[in-house]
Amino acid sequence: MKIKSSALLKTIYVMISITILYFALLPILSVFYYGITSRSELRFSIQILQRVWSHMKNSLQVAVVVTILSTSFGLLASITLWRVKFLGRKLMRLFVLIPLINPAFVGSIAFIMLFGKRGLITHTLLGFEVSPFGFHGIVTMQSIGLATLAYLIISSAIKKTDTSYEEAARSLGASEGRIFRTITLPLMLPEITVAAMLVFLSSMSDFGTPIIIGGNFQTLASDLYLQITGLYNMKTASISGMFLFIPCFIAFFIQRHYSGKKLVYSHSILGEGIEYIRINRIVKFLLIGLTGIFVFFVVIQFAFIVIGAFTERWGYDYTFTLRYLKSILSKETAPFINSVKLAVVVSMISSLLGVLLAYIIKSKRYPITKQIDLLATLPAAVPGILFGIGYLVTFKYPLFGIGKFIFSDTQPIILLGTGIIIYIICIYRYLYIGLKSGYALMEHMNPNLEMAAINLGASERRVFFDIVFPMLKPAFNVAFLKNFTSTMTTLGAIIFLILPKNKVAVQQIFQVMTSSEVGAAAMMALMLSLLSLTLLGVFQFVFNHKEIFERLREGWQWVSSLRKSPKNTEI
Amino acid sequence: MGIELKEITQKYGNLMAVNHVNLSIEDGEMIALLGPSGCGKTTLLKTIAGLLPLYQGTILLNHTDISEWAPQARNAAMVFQNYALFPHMTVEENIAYGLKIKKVDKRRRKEKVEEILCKVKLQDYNDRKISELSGGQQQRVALARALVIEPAILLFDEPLSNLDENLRISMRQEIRKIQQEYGITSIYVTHDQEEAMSIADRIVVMKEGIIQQIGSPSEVYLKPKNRFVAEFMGIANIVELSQVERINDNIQARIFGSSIKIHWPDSQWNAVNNIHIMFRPEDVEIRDDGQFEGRVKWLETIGSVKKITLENTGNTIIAEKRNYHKSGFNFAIGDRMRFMIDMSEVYVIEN
Repeated sequence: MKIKSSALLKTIYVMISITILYFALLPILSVFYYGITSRSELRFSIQILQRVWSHMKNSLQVAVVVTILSTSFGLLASITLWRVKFLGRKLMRLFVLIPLINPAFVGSIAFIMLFGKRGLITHTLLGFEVSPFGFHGIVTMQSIGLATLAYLIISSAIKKTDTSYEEAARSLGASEGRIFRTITLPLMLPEITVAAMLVFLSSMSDFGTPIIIGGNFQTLASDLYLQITGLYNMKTASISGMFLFIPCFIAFFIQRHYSGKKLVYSHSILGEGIEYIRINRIVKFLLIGLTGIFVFFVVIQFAFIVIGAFTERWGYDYTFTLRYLKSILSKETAPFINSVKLAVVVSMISSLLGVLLAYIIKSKRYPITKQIDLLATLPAAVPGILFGIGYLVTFKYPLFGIGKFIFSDTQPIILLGTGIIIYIICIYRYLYIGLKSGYALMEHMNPNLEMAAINLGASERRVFFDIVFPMLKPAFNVAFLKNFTSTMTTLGAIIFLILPKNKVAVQQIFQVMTSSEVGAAAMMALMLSLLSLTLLGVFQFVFNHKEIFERLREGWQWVSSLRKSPKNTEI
Repeated sequence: MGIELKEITQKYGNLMAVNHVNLSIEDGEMIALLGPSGCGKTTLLKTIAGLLPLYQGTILLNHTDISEWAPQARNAAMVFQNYALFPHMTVEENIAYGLKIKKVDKRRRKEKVEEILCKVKLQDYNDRKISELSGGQQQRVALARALVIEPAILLFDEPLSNLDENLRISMRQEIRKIQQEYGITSIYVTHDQEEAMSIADRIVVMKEGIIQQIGSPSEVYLKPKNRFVAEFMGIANIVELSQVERINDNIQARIFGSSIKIHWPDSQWNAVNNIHIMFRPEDVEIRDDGQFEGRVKWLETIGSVKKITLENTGNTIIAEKRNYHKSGFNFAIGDRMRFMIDMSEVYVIEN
């Protein structure tokens, strides 16, 4: 009657770990392998390095400025929207999230409409023939989009900080400014660092924005894209890729160092936390004003997408039209269906695997869990486009060469060129989302629950299905929703792997945008946003339907009780 | 069913969490494991439940060796400190969980749940969610969930520590009543000496993984084996004797500059140095004709009792004066006060 450890979980762990090695680590290593072993002439190599260096400089310039701007605005918005009381705050909290349901480069539509060759401001108002494409455009667009990311992370910190520390400082006589400087800010520093690093990574890996509004100013990521689509030069791409890895990995490990530290100083999590009651008027208006500008930009971006979607031909003919809408609904629905299919399947599998892995890593003492955690999180640090190149160079061989020997007399299985490869890359690229959300849940999970079930006689398998599985469901739900929006808006990772038959909406939008068809792109972007929103609503309903039905039932009972006894209503 | 623990040892790394524990518990008995946090009491409890693999020793349940049994097979139901109720199940589903595993059929299950809910005074709470219950109600559900599977032994891991004072007192009475009614052999882990004394037949006082004393509540309170037990069970006045002499079954010595005689027939005690005596505050009487004198160092009023800290020749003791308001108590800090010690209650301890 020894305590038997379940073979089930061990098998799951081994399986997930092996596939992570295969689908996350191997493609990354392949890029390096390719970059290093490309036997090109020395002079050619120097040429490549010069080219890489100039793009690297551009990338770093953009990323550093964007990181500073986005993190500052994220911090400002977090403080303003969660600590300062003013009218319209709730609405602003909603607006600020808009960029989340759009692909990174979509904001550029508004930029083109305003500042493009036939832009509303540059051409129509100022009469310029040139446009301010380049560095400033990229920085502006990325800063707005990524400030939302920073806001999400920093605001979660501001919501959960234990207010008693600040109250203690206040009772000791510290001024509000001093409290913020010496208590609030240091306590949030880990989250701010994490936000900054993620912004930096996203900026480094964004290739869409530079291609659309960069003009001659190209970054390392956008140059990678151009080299593959334009020249199909895998070797140069691999070398550039290696260099793109360096700053990303540095950022990743700094971030990991900070988020690995336990961010638990909050014992009590009280709904809205504290608010600054006695706040300096000037400071208050400054905060609201700056946040207002940020939110205004976000709203303008989206507004111009909507306007552009219904305008005949931007810059030439400003009449209202439904032709873009009609054209999508009549013949361009396939990419949208593909997008949804991809996002749903990926979210399901990826979230499930991620949450399961989180549970196993945190609660079982299996070997090399730390390393597996690192490998599963690694794709988060790899720019999507680079991960895609990794897949491209790895899976053009049957099972990485092994298949050649195993399937000698059958058709070799080559992943590249099948429809399934984009599903696999997205699953492993976003596995960390499920992993992180699983970890977050496990922090709050009562470890005695499993013991209680065992104590009542449940076998380990039973404990897993009766207790652990249902307990992990909230983590799965959160991961699913996040995964869904990520996959719906992803482009870099899949752009080189997609077959014409399973083309997704984002790719379609990107293509249309690069050929400067503003109206069509705007309409498609709008449709994608609405589709994402609707589906998010549907999933929320599915996840919470029990509660919703219960509320409805209670409401109905209340109504019918009023009807039965009309006397009650008078009381 | 009786339990016997033989030489139980548990280790966390190099730390001996439980150190060669021997304990035998009779059928139907309620034992309290008492000690400060980190004394190994919860570790011992989880070891008995099988939730921690045994490092060394033997556990006998009704003369059967269950040391190697899986926790599922031991039939030792546990009530956890934070209840460990399954948050995704209703009250009824929580209670029925153990029965379901035992494959009790649905009708019988329903009956038993109803019966047990009645017992813990939670009728009609079947469909409630756990999050809708108060702490006390959750506690009752946890008790019901453990009781309903008719366990051979019941294990309590500080079950009342999350409740407020008044609720704790009424709950411990209820737990005791139900335990006696069912006659289930129980082990109750707590760090609260009052709770242990009120609920248990016998108390096992532990420190650093080692059992210090096993005895009835009055035994461990009045006749503590050592300084640790004496101080853990309540306020203890511990004074070193000087000029000790043994005369037959008596000890003659001096304290507070006055000579005393204690009846102490224990033949093991023949050391003449370093003997301490222990007496409780209630054994000190403030009287004008008292044998000893001390200076009042501190005064506290706790309801109807004055707690007086007295000092004499480097020794500090605490005395209690009940109903001080009726007898014109008018001492202040710094005053000298005469007092008596009830020598029949004085207990000689190992230091």
